[in-house]
Amino acid sequence: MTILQIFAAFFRVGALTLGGGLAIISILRHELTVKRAWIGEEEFAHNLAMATSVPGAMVVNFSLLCGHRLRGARGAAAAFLGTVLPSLIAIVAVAVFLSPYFSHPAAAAFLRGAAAAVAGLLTHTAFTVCRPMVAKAPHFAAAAIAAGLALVPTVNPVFALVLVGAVMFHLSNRQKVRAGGDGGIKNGINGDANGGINNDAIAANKICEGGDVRGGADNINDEGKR
Amino acid sequence: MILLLLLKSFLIIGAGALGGGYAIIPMIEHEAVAVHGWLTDTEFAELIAIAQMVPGAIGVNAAAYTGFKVAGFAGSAAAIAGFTLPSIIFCFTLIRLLAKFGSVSWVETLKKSIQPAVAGLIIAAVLTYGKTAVADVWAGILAVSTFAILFVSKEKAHPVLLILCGGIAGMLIYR
Repeated sequence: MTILQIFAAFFRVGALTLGGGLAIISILRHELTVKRAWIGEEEFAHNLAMATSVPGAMVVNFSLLCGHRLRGARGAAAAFLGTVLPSLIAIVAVAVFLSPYFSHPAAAAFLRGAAAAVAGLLTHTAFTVCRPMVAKAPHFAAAAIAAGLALVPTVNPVFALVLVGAVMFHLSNRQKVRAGGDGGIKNGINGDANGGINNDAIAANKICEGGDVRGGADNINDEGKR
Repeated sequence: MILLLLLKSFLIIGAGALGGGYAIIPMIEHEAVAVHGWLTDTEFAELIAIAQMVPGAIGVNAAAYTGFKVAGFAGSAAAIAGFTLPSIIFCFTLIRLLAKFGSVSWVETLKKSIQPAVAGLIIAAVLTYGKTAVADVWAGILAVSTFAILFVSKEKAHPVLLILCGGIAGMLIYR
């Protein structure tokens, strides 16, 4: 695909999608993965996971990562502009010309129905994208805990992500050691790459020390401090 | 000067928008209403409504709208630039790091380890959205039908078309 095609694909999705970032990602999945096979299912899930764990709006991150995957830095720029420009155009159009129409009852009724359809679409995306991520029972349990935490209004979703991610990281490292492989922990100790995530891991693990989660996170905590 | 202020405010908001963006709306309220007085409370309520009604990402829409109210088109562009700059910086850093360390085994493990947590956050985001979007039986029927059509057609049905159908059904139901 050309740079222009990347831009056009992201622009069209951005311009046509009501319902926010996750709805855009759902439709991007339809366009890029299901219809055009530009990005495989696994790659899609991987990019979505990365986009969620990096600061910034999820859909903007996702466009940058997908665009980069498709055509390097220029692909990222094309995907980024394709995602952001529709917002700019639509908002300016609304602010200048259209605001009276938004108070019309028919518009409100349309949006209520559209929002309900978006809820169905998002459920479908969550169902298809998340199923492989939670195929094993421990992963399912971890996802349920993360979801439960993120749903508590006072809990920052970052906390859920870091806490559950750190516990899973620790558990899979321990599993590796048991299985006789030593790569996991050894390599894990010299790590300060992935700065943001690791710094957060320190914070999360401090909370773990406060007597949560099977007291198991000490190991990662040491890794974080070095 | 006002453009730089917009850029700075939305840079802070963008950098704080992690994990699905629940944090964006209260942060915009803090920056735009409480700190700078760019929007009144009524304008802020209008912003929330319009950001969700217009196509595009809600955070980007909200940035564009606030910027436009403050300084017109240039304000919009400045707010969007500020809001998305953290994404650009963090994503390219991540891409670099993954290119360098992506095959190191603990990074592989880390990438796999966060997947269940990410799944959990996505599920939470869908539930939160669904709670407000599906407020009555009719909305429930529309949501279930949309899901069923996508599932049964194995995603041959285009989701944009389904959202449009939902909107038209909404006009008939809620008029």
